[in-house]
Amino acid sequence: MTRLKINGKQYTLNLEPDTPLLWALRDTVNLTGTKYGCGIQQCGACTVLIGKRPVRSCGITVGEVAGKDITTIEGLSPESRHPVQKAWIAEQVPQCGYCQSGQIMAAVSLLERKPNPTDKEIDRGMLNLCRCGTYTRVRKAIHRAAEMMKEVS
Amino acid sequence: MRIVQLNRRDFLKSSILAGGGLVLGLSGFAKLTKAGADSSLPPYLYIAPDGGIHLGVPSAEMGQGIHTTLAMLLAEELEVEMSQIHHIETLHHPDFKHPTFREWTNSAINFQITGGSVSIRAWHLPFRKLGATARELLQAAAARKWDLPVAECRARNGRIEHSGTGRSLGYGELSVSASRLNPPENPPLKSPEQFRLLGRAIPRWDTRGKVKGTAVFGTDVDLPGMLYGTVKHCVVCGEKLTGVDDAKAKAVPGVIAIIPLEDQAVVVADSTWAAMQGAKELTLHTSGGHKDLSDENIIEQFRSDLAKTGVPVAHRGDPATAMAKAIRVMELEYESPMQAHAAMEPLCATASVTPEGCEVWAPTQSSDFAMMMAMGVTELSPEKIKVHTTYLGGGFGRKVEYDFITAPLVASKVLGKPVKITWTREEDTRHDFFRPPFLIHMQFGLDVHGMPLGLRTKLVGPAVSRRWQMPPPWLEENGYDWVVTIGMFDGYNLPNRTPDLSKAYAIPNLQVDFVPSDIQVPTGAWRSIGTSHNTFALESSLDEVSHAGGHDPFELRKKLLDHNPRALAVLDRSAELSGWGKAPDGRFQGMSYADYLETYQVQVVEVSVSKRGKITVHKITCVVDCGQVFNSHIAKQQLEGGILFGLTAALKGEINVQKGQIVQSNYDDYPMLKLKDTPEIIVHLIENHEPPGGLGEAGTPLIGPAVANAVFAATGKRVRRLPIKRNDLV
Repeated sequence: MTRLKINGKQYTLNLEPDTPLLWALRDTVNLTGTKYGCGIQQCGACTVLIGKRPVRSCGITVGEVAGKDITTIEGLSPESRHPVQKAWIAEQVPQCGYCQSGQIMAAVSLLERKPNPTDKEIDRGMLNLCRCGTYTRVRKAIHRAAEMMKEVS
Repeated sequence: MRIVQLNRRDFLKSSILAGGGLVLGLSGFAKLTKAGADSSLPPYLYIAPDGGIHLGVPSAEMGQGIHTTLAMLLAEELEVEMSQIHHIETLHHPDFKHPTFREWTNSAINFQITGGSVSIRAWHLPFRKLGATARELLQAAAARKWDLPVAECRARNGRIEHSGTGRSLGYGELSVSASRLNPPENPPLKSPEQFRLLGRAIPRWDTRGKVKGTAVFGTDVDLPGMLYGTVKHCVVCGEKLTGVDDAKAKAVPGVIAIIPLEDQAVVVADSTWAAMQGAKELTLHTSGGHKDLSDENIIEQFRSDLAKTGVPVAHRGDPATAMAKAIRVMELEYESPMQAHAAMEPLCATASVTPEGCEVWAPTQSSDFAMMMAMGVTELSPEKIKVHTTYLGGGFGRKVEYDFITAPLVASKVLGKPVKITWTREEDTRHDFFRPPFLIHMQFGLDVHGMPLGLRTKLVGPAVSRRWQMPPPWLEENGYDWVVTIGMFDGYNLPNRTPDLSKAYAIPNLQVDFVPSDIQVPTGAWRSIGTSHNTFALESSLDEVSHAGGHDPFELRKKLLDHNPRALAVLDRSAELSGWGKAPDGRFQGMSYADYLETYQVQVVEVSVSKRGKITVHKITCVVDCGQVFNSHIAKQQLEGGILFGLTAALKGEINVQKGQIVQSNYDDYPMLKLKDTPEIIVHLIENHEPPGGLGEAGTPLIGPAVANAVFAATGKRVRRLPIKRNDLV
């Protein structure tokens, strides 16, 4: 049995410890906001937060994250009121939306480390792939979220 | 299109409709029905007693924002805010067969399809009419209730108001009584000056769900008792499956069954991960296959076929004489390799098959094709089959194919449970219907002023539509494939039309021929189809002609498009906006023009190239006249996205075949553009009320040649094949 703490809730799951966290989230716990894109940690669609760290959940096992704080897109904020989510809506970022959970989680983590990121820091911190080409808006939305978070604090 | 009042009694089974309410369908075909007859059709506009609007639309939402735009078109005429739209879904419905494809193919293709950038042109008027009809019915219902003249009752913000007395009623309160009235034949539609929503940057309806992670894609379908699975295809093109060694696969915990099909094995398990692990342990036995197939022999075949006569696509004047008279003849050749769709959501679908009925959930661009596959596998009649279209995590032309619907149907039929199949990224990359490879030869004859007097071009590559079950008339009757010739003076060379070159470049003597050169690799529709390889060849070669003749590339285009005021406007504006001719030191500019389905567009690119051949794209300026814009956010999103899709193919990877196998498999060896590679993109939409053109694919074909032309300006080296390789520039 594996114990996972996801979005503040405890789960005891009948899973092999080498099961990738991504599939535990999607198929076992039915939190499908975290997506499968490539399975080799290249695309970032599966990004979640372990503590405050962004992690590509296709590349980490449930055994490795047992007992740690896992946050998925669903747990980011009730009613999607996290500044990053608000900025994403204001800048009209998503097109198909499939990569966006991962983009948002990566952006949340970037802003946690760098509350006022430069464009170069965004370049380095946002390596998630988007086939629809929303990158220019992702960049704008991160700047906007940074502004919003500055106003609050 | 005629609006009919659908019999709501037959919908009372559905919980949504239990409270009654106004229910409308668009029917060009169904006659006004008597109570009880022919009402098994679901409604596509339902106004609930609480005033909430539930909308069924023909088009699949794959990121192009069509759900929002269609809802806006309705909301405009219905006089509601977007917040009153409570539900939008892609609805499989016989009235939603695509009128444009039907027109283009003489009804050979009469299906519900999303693709080709033609959703707006097909559906903008019907959805406005639907909204206007509902508005008229609600006004009439209020007038009756108040016993006042209809002319004094006005629709505004989800309510009918009576100006004189200040009375008002919400749509929810009127919907039941409105449902008893007869729909008007021709409700008045607004003129553009009256638009309240249309044309504006209205936020997309689906953004919230996509930002919360609650939007349901094909991969996310979840049903009680559902099993999970994946597929493993034979690796070599054309191979067939003769057997499997599945002992090891079955020993993987969670694996339930291995089901062999003609060219793939389906692995079913209690989780997607177990299925994927099982697939890794599975050995396939195969026969046949084109093991000698390689990029080298494909291009060799194309070169050899270049000598063939080919099928005429376009003709004007007397090209042979023009070439003879030309002061200078330029022979130019361009090559386009295969590209994959590589949507972020891999192929997937879910099916639940019982002897009594079948349901399919799929991120499909064609619910009709999904239906056909379901009918084939289950042998059930259509009334027993229901197709649900989920959100698509990208389509780009891949998800119009119906191969990926097979496995879940077969697995569910065999196992008697719902099954969700998810392809691995490797399977998705390798078993695509790729953008076809093409070799294009351009022969220009220049006059004494360096202007093109004549052009003869041969397009050599596969006829993609030959694979279709319903061969389109352009192939059957004319022998050429419009899917791959579009963009090279094809002039909409479709049935029932004389080719119309009136808006094309005014090269007086012209011959375009297509030599079908089929290959064993599956090919299909890739965002912008033939315009992709043809615009690369045409706009690169016109750049070469410009330089050879001493003309500025913009000036050459303007001279050749002197008869086309919309093209001229786009050329002028883009030269101005991009600062053409005024690039900062170390930066070089290139441009391209295209008219893709009545969307006139120019892109200007500014690049720098390092001594080691590294290309940096600094800025892209895109000016578009696509006629009436309905949502300016969405229009810009689509152009930005189309540009980056094309830029990836210009700078990043390609798809190769060796020994009959596709070489690439995932994002590590088929790399995508990243945020750090993304330049500043300026999109300017020219405002007018012309009929809407197409935008979903429009950005893609121009960026490749614009970059190639800028690279020439920077290095003096002509790019004849995309993606550009660094070594070619050093």
